[in-house]
Amino acid sequence: MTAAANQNHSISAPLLQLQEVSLRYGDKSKISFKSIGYDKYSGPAVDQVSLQLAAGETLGLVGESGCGKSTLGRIAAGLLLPDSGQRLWCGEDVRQLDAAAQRRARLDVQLIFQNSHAALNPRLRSEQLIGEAPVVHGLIRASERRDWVIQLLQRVGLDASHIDRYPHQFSGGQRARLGIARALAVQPRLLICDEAVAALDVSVQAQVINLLLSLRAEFGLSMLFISHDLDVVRHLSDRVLVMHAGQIVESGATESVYHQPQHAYTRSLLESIPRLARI
Amino acid sequence: MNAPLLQVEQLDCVVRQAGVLTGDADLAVLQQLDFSLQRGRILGLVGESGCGKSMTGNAILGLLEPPARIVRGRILFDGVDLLQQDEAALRGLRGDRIAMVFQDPMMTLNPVLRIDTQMIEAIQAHHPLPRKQALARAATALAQLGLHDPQQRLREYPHQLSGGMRQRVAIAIALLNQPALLIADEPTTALDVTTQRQIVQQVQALCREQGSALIWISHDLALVSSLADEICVMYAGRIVERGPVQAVLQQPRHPYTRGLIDAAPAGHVPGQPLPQIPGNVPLPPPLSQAGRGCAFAPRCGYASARCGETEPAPPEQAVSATHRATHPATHHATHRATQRVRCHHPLVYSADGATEAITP
Repeated sequence: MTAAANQNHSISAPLLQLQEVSLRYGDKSKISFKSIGYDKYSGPAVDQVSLQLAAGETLGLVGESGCGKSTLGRIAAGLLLPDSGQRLWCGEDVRQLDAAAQRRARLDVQLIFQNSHAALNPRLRSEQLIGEAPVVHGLIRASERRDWVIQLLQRVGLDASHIDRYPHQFSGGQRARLGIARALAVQPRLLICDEAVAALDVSVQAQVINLLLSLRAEFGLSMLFISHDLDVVRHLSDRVLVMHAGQIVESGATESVYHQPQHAYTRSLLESIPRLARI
Repeated sequence: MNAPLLQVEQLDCVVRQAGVLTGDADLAVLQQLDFSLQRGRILGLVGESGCGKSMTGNAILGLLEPPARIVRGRILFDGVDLLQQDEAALRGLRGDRIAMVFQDPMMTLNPVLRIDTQMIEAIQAHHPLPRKQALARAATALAQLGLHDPQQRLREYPHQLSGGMRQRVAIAIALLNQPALLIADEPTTALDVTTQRQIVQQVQALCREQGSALIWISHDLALVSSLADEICVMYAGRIVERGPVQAVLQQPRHPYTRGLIDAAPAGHVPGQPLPQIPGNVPLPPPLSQAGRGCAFAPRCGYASARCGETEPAPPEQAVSATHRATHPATHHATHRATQRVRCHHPLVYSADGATEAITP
């Protein structure tokens, strides 16, 4: 159950590359937002952003609400097509690949969302929630599904007896684990975590962060970790991008950005975090 | 004159849960809640979701509705037991002497009324002030919370404001009548850190200036540490530790408080596993089973057999009733300054900062 399936791709190219991607919402219709007084929405959500993510690397993406970080995450996942710019997966434009390779490239990137309640189909039991995709995509046979799901449940710290439960029968922390298990079920190489721990209490958040750390080490996963919580991002990321008004205003190795922020916006963000004096 | 502004005594609160087969059961959601707050002081009420923080805030304002109800205890505000007051008396207090700010400002704001209408209403409901003066006071209140161009804001509707601006308006409304007590229930949780910092600083300054006492409810220990004088840590409907904010957060004596502080990623070596509290916050137990052992024992690394059997005494009882009767003044003075914990094995600290639990 490792993510080694696609290791035969060229090693030299970064796993994921975005080249000057831009996306503007609501611009394609004839109605101008400016004309009805909503000119504050007229800027692009993502403006000429480039980024690279190497295999095994965790990239943190921080910024305040409305800065475009979720939109950028969806572009990185291939869920949204940018208006301009390119998304390259292992150095290739996924849309140029044949159908089978396109499907595999999609499976390679999985998302974990903040609202685990909305992200899980309330009418499906854990077995279907987690086991449906790997069967459909031929990773496992239908007869192997139950064992596969039990293995995943146990790996994310849930119990095998949870296999017949519905999402509403889990606590918030357990649902976060369920979302992680579902993402892992198709053996991805990149996890995009969009505020994945933001809704959790600090004690449960620590449990889920520890789970992500150990899964990352075990499966050699890459992660794009999107969050407004600078402490969480610092704990998980090798490199960090600071986003403001659709643009990356600062990027670099996590510790250097946190210790020597260059951009005024990064400094104001860092200064705003309440600090607990520790003994 | 030394009497506290607010004194919550032995407050028990239950929520009735309907059961088809088992019959209705009362779940104990707040148990033996006991704390007090002096005039002009800032109290941080912290804990994880489901531990009863908001319930406490709502109980003080008389906002609990069935199936929740208070079964025991007193809430003394300025010497008057709020639980004995009728609805008209409470309405007179709310928004005037006691005000509340909620996490979602749209709980406070009416979406179809302009800001000025709502602010003037909030003043005139309690004080016979001419419209012009009320309007001037409203503009001042908005300006004090750092809103630019208050005259323009007053003419706008809530939907024309951003989330941060709306919350500033809600806080300005709460502070309009210079309340003796402001209860703020996670008002900045949904806001960005930069906005949060500004609002926290402004509210702190305004409360100091007006002499308002403040209860700030939050799950964020670090935020409370930058704001409050005193702190109450809640777990499973109980106050498990309280005291001066620096003392409690630097040398927490309850294993739960210690666990909460340690679980936050700040200050740990990046990439290393975080110290975690195993398990989850328990659901409130039926009243019949409440008080059987410490609620935190199943998650606690220091728990002994005794923790599973008897519940530790609430912090207040440590200062016995005789003490209170004989020396009311000293009692309040000491009580405000000391750190108290509801635990059989409170942590102690050696000179080098290492911790261990007291084993009796």
